[in-house]
Amino acid sequence: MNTFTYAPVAYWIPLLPFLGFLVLALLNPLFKGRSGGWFATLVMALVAFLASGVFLEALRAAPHWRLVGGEAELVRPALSGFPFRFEWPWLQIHGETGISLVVYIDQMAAAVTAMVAWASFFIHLFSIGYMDGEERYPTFFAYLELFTAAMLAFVMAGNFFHALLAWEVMGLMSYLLIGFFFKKASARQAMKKAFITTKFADLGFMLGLFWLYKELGTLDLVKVAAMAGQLAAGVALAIGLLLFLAAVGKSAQFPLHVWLLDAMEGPTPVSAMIHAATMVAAGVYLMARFYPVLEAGHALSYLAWIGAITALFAAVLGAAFADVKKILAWSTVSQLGYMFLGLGVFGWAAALFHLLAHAFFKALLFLGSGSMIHGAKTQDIFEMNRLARYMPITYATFLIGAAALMGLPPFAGFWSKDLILHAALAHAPFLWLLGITGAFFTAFYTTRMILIAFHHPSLPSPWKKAPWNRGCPALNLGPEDCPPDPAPPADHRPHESEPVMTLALLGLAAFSLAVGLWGSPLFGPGLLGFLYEGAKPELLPAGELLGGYAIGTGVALAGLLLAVGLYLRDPLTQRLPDPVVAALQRRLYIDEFYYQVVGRVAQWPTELLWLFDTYVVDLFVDLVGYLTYVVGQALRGLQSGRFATYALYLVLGALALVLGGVRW
Amino acid sequence: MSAVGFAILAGLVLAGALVVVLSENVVHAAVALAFTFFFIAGLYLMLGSPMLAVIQFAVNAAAIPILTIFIIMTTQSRRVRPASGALYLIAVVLAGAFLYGLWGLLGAPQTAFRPVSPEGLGARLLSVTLLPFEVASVLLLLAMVGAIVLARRLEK
Amino acid sequence: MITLGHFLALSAVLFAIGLFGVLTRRNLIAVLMSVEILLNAAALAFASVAAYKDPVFFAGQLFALFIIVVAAAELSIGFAILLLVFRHAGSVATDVVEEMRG
Repeated sequence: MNTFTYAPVAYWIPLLPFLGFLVLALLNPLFKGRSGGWFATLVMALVAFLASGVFLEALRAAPHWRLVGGEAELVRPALSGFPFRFEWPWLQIHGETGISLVVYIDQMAAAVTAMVAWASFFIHLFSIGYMDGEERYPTFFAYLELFTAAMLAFVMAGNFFHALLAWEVMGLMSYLLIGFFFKKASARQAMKKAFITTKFADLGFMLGLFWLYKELGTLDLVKVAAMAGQLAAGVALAIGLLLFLAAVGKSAQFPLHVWLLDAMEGPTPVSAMIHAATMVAAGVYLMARFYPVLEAGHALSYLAWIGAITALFAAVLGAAFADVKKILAWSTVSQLGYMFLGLGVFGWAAALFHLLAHAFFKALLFLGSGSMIHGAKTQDIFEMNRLARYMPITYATFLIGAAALMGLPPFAGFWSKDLILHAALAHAPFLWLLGITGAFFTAFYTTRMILIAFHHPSLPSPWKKAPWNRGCPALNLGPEDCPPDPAPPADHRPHESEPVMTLALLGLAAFSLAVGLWGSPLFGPGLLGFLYEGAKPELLPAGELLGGYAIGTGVALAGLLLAVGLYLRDPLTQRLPDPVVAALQRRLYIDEFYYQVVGRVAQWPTELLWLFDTYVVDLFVDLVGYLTYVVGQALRGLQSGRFATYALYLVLGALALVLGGVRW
Repeated sequence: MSAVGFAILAGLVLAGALVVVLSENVVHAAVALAFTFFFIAGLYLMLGSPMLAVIQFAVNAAAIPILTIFIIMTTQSRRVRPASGALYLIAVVLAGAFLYGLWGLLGAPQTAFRPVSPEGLGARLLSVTLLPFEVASVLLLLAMVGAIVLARRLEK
Repeated sequence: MITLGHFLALSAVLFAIGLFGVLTRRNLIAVLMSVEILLNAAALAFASVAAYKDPVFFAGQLFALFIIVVAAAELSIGFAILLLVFRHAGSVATDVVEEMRG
């Protein structure tokens, strides 16, 4: 009997949102009111359905660990054909296959595809309500569709070249969506900052791929994985670091983290979609795909170090901010750091598990913050007026997301972060220390955010009072270009958001819980047994795991209690000296350093190039124009306007042909 | 085929053509044009193609000179001012050069030729060149419409 | 015996005469007549080559037919334009058409 299989039509998963984008972009004026949003959401529902089909098929067909009689055992289904691979010839030169179009779905791709599709669906649903009444409503959804298409194409790419193409489209859509409110100077500046920073990093992607192609003659990821061992160690290291540079830029890791904070200028669903759940995780995904080369070049320790430093540093800075979206942005940077740390300490499956879990709970938190902003009419947590009282659904779902972020059992982040720290402790105890300290600060800033935003009445924002926060120093804008947002009236009564938005929150909360529990060792090998067949997953009750869980829970609780102790009664008192707070709130002056030093240094070669352009390139251009002018002047006499002259030219031309015919 | 007949016809054709290009009276030129084309029709008969000869006679030797004379009457321009000597010289040189060029293209002497029956020509016209035939009909229609559009008086 | 060369030579001379007319005539009607001579010279060349060299398809004779058709179309359009010029300038001398500059 033939049953319908999803994998062969998997290419429709990125294609559908692309078609949706075309429809929305080309028929833009026809979409009145909310119809554009509903249309895009419908497309995403179809995509989510297809992606789930593919995922369930992969679940049946992939070899995976299963609990058999209390012991984990690797089961290899007789159904072969996994990993799913579909290939179309493309870019052929003289019949030789240069680069084929490959859709490649293994366990990782299937899981991440399903995650992206569902997260994207909920974010679309949320946006229907959130973006209501904004200018260019259908355009927003067109952008979201194209972004989703690119992200899905990236995840399913069987070839690093495609991955690069989709990666660049994602970068473009990130740029466009950050600047969606381009009438604000800060949004314009932020979109440029994001684009230039990630573009700089993308150079590494391109150079790395060129080099890889030169060495191996292929960019197919299966072949690259098989041939990675043939690379000389130094070459593999260099290529690995070049690609890691791209991942650092895309995933906003130290020291290229600067753009992500300002990317919060975009609409909140965009922050949830691109700058929390999917695109920034693409860097982690790329490194996971590139693992064999990284291993061959012993580049993993770089990933671990950068990841651990970022995880701690971003968590500390997150505690100093007042804008709810920026706190969440720091938290994203920090959590992505954990993923790199996980990859770097051979916790490959743990990092991917964290990627999946983080996508859901961070999308949930961001959408929750969107709902808060929608209700409270401000982004400053101090100015929010007892939201817990007015927005019960938002509050409940936000708590679920926050618990997952803090790493409280039994929520998603607890299981995934602990696995990463577990791997770190085994391979690099110092990095474990950084990670666990980061976890402490994570719990701290999350609790602080919840207490101040949800439980305290509207307060005057200390952020806006601080003299060092005038203007937007991180965007190189003065107070006149970047005025502070007006505070809502103190007696503003927030309201709960409409059903499409709360529905999206509830959906994401459910997914977040489910992914966490499925990935936990409570019910056998579960998600991890599916993601990674290479090693036997650990099961409860393993002594080491339990110890890790105890430490993790303890540290998270400590952070939580510290925040409660500091902020429950008295949220306004500043407890650190001014210079320290200023340094934290101005992001350790890293952005200013880039503007002042890197920007200036980059000026010199630019001016040299300007001279070259003016006096060499323009010279040629002018010369072409001048020659045309001279020849035209010389020939204009031929155009007499007289009939007889033209007849003469005609005859001369024909004569030339006839006489030419005699000679040759 | 008689060489004498060819010589007479050729001489008449060339003489007619010379009158067409030299006469200062345009009406004379038009009449000479009719004769020239009429004698070319004779040449087609010599080539064994009566069909072509008939069409040449009907269209080129009859219709076109009559149309030309109509236009001459409409525009009331009977006389042509002769061109300058220099222009004559240039024209003679160019025409001579052309003649020289074409002369170089003449191939080896070829004597045998095959007459064409009207049936044969018609059958090939409607099979080998069916598409050009149809296109030509469209071209004629276009020319007709175009001529009417161009020449009608615009009412104001 | 009359050969193909004779016909082609006649056609070449006829063509040269027509060309001379196109270049020297100062009346647009006369110029168009000269163009007719040119076209007929070409048609004659085609027809004679077909008769001598192409006993199967007579492609050249078909060409001659089409040349006659195209010549008729060309002449009708030419005369229509000529009428416009006459209405515009009151004359059909070639030197009234001297504004054909881009």
